Amino acid sequence: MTDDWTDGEPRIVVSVCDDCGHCWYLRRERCPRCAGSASPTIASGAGTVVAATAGDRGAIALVDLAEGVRVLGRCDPSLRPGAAIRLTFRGGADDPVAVPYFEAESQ
Amino acid sequence: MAWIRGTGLTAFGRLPGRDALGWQASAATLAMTDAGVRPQDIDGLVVGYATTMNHLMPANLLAEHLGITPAVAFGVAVGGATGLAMVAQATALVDAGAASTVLVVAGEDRASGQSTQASTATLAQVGHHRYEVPVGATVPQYYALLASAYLHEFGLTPSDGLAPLAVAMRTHAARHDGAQFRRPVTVDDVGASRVVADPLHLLDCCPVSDGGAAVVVGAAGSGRDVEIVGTGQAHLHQHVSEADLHGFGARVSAGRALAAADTALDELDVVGIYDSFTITLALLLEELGLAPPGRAGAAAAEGWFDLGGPVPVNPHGGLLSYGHCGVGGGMAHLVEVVTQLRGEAHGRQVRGARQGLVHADGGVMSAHVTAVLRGPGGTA
Ligand SMILES: [Zn+2]
Repeated sequence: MTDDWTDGEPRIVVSVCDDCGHCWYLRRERCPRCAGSASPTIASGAGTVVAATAGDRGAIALVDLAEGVRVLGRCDPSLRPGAAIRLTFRGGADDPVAVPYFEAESQ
Repeated sequence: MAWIRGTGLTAFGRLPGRDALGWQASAATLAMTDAGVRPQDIDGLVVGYATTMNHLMPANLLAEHLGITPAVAFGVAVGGATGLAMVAQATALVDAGAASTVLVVAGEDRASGQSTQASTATLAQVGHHRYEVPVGATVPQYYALLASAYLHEFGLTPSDGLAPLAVAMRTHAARHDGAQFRRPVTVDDVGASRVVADPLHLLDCCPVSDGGAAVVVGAAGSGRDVEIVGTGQAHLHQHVSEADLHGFGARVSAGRALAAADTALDELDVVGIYDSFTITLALLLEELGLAPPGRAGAAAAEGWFDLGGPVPVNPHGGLLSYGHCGVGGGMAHLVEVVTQLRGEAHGRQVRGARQGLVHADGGVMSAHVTAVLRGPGGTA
């Protein structure tokens, strides 16, 4: 497995099936569609907000990355569905590792 | 097939004094009394997990407590779908001849037995331990994400898309003296309540409750017994990042149950639909085909889900207003539909109710179980 943000490397690793081309985010050794082997790709960091929520526990969003996987992360509380984002990583005092944080893509 | 021979449902609320086992025993005794069976008649025992007990062997614990020595006993954990999953397994045990009288039980001191923080942290474990839990998401936030996507897709506001469902559940609960919240609310009250996770306000969210529910599933059908004419399930994902937001599994699950029962949606007189949040109810009603896409809130506002409407939903008030004690919360819908089909719901009776459906989801719309029930009055 290629290290990602959960290992302390500030990046998202997308697994791509060598046999059927299916892409996934949640770490597993074999393709959930065909049990094929996987090759890692580092996400570019571009994506689109699918859903977002803000509240007194902070803001989080579901984002579809350009590589074709859906990812959960913290976010700028102003983000709304449909917005283009840029992936960064931020960690608070209580976080063992920096976690995905989505900012609005300025364009 | 198998029949629901007896039901037990306690009042729900913040009711200190019993632990999880105590609530389970209370509900189990109510159900056995209602069915007219004794503890020694029980040869199958299925018990749902309790977050305040977190025991490896909940069925054995309850069997010993009640003095039951069943031929089959096991615990079940599929989140909010656990109650109906237990009934599906009880039906299978009866159909297979492995047991003749199966007691299905859930109960928990979820409100009094732990702090709100502990409860929130436990429930948040339905998220992915590596990729979601470290982000800090809670269950209300997961459902708020689903609400965000839903309102965006259909161009709705919380007050027209979601709040009418909370109002409808509260209207129902006002007629049930076991409900945790019975004071009527308006769409404005929902919008004025505290924001828990935008777009969900406090009144879009079910409470945390103490309580218990149980049923006796048996082979012999007589008198007041309600037949389990079909069950179905679907388990298509666990985590929200791998969910199909337009097909969580409810349609597949209900399709299997309706096919097994050889019936159709338009032949249902009353339904019990899992409603942990208003968005849960909206998504389930629409995926099940009980409301058009994007119209669940509008339908609620138009009275579709009231006692006299085309699809009476959760006449006991649902999780949103009867309350939510965990696995027992999902079983309350089942007990209510059975009560309706027996014609014993008194002031909240759906007239002429002969066939009903109950559907629950667990996790973040992850596990789906459906049961179709037919009353003692015969075929629909
Ligand atoms: Zn593959």
